[in-house]
Amino acid sequence: MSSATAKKLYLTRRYDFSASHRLYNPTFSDDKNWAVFRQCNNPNGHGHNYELEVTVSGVSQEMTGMVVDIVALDEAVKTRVLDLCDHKNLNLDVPFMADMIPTVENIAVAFWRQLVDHIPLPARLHRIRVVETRNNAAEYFGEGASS
Amino acid sequence: MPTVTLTRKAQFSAAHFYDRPELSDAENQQLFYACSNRHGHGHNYTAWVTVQGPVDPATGMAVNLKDLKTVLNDVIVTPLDHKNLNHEIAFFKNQIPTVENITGYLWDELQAPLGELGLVLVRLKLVENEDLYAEYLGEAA
Repeated sequence: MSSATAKKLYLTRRYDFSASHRLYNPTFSDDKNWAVFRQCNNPNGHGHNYELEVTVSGVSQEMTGMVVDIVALDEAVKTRVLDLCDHKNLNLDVPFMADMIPTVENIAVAFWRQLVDHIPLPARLHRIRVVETRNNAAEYFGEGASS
Repeated sequence: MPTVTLTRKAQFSAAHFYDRPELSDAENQQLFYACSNRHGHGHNYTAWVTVQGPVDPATGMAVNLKDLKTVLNDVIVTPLDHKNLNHEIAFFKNQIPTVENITGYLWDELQAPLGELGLVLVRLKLVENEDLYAEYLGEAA
């Protein structure tokens, strides 16, 4: 790849939010929910300090040297995800996550759908990564994408 | 021989600012916010350099880490550490030293020295702060 060829770069922005959730399927019996979800089924809920990484792809714009306007990206993430999820109960308080089990996997997909059409152009959303604890994180690259 | 990837970290602390000389101060401030301060601000950058190469069965290594570390010092640390990127790096005399552009610049600078070690650069990740990093995997736009 010569230095003269436009490079496809990835730019990742990281955010924090704190939320509670409960993992359970309302169609399961209590016994089955405890068996499948174990302590995550606690009816009183539990919480995490989540980390969200939003990765966009694009080229370095000639005028700014940036792949994406970070301030505009931050605003989109704030209004469409963080303000709606931070210090909230993901099962009860977040309209775009209604009727879904808020596993870290489903959270990553839900956040993708909230943001994919709201990334400042000409950048494109490449990956959503949600870290639930230091031991588990989920990544989503969009519908039908391979990593 | 298996081919593996190996990632090594290089760190440097540098100053930079974002500025387009043809724009007014007000226009630069609107475009680049606090980053437009021409006195500069700084970051502790971390570059994660991922190379790929065959494992030498005699040594178990894709590369002697001492040689890789020398390349990273010569290409990244020595030229950039404790420097002002706008004023002291020729490439950034007319390119804005955003984390994206620094990533692209270092990718190009690393090609030949890593090639001499028989390595292919497959990924470069440059962390500007804990909330912002850029990556390049060698793809054309």
